[in-house]
Amino acid sequence: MTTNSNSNCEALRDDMVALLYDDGEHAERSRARDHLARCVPCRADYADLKAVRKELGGWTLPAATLPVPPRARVRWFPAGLAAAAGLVLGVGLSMAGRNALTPSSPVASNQSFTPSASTGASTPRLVSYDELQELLQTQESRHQAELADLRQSLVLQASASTARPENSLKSVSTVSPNVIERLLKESEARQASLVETRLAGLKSQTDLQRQYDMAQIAAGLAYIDSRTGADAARTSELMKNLVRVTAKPQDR
Amino acid sequence: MLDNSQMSDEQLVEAFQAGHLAAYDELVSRWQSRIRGAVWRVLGSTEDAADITQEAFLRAFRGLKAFKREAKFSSWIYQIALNLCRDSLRRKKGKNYVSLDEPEPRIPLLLSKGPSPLELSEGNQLAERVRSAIQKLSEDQREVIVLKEYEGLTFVEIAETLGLPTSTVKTRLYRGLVELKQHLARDGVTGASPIPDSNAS
Repeated sequence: MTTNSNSNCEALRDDMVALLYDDGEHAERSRARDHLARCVPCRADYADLKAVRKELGGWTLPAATLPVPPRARVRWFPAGLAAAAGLVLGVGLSMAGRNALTPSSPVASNQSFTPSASTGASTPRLVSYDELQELLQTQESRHQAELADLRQSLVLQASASTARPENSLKSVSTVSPNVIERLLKESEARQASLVETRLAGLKSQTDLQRQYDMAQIAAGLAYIDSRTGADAARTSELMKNLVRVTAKPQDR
Repeated sequence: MLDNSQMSDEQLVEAFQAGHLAAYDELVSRWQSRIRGAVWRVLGSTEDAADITQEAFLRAFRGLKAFKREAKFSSWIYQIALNLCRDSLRRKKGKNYVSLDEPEPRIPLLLSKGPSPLELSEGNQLAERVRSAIQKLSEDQREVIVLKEYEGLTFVEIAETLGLPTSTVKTRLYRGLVELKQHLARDGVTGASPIPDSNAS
């Protein structure tokens, strides 16, 4: 730290503290600002003090001395936490569902798959895991049907080209129906595997999130029960006993 | 008629002095955790903090009937608690005590998803260094630093609590911060510049 021996600087230290804490009179802070604008060593001192204050912020209270929440707030805490956990879970599911069905995904390339599309609502709504699974199965069966149609039309085209060889080069090129069928099967398998992977991932994510949230809720409740609740109850009981013992007979 | 929780400290004191003893319950629940936090920071021991906080509120209860409402209740209860801290430190002076308190889990460990174990470890190390640096301050400096930095009292409130002029409060704060800077630099806390060599000219 810079040692500033100038007597004017020393006289302004209180003002500097006032500026540092944004407390005291306006005139003090104003004097400090003017001085700091002119005095390089004091500016360095001031920066040092600010840095110290920042470090002091790193000393947090241990759990046992944390402020006790007011009683009214304690009452809603478990319900609020559970609601928050539910909201997080819901948002997580919704996000996971949306990720699994982005337009770039093969599953959703042709049709909108969001629950809002099925309900006709303009805003997306949260869906449960079972609901999502059901929707995915519907989508899968629709795709299967589309693939079957496509396969049938290709077979028809191939047979037509066999009948009219002059058009075959233009319509189906040199690719044989067997190759097309193989490609379709591969694509089908790829899509099925993608859907399975997404579902498995979603399930494991949901389970993990639920476990994590439950652990947090349990830890929070245990903490409140063991620390603040017990402390508050003990002190309150003590005070009540004290009040009872020291009260005049007419107050009792 | 106002509910106790809606009343100001001054109104609660007035109610207590008028014979409504339950008003004291509200004052206790309103201030006990802050007082305990301040005491813990001044003493550095959780167990002592709980005992002293309890004792402070017992004394306040006994004295509240005669409390003159010129001062704020908060300043008064801080004053009682800090006097008890001084007594406690005086009794312990010259004796080496080792706290039997278990290392307390800090709240980030319980609720936060954010910091990694490394960050938590670094955070705890920083907290320990700050705690240690504050314990090295004189009692006078430690009190003003705790009341200002951690309790957020104004200069006037600190002056009222400690019975000092505000200029003295500011001077103690300045000197306390300068000393802390040196202690933290010695402990190698990031951002602190090294202590100037006292032998150097």
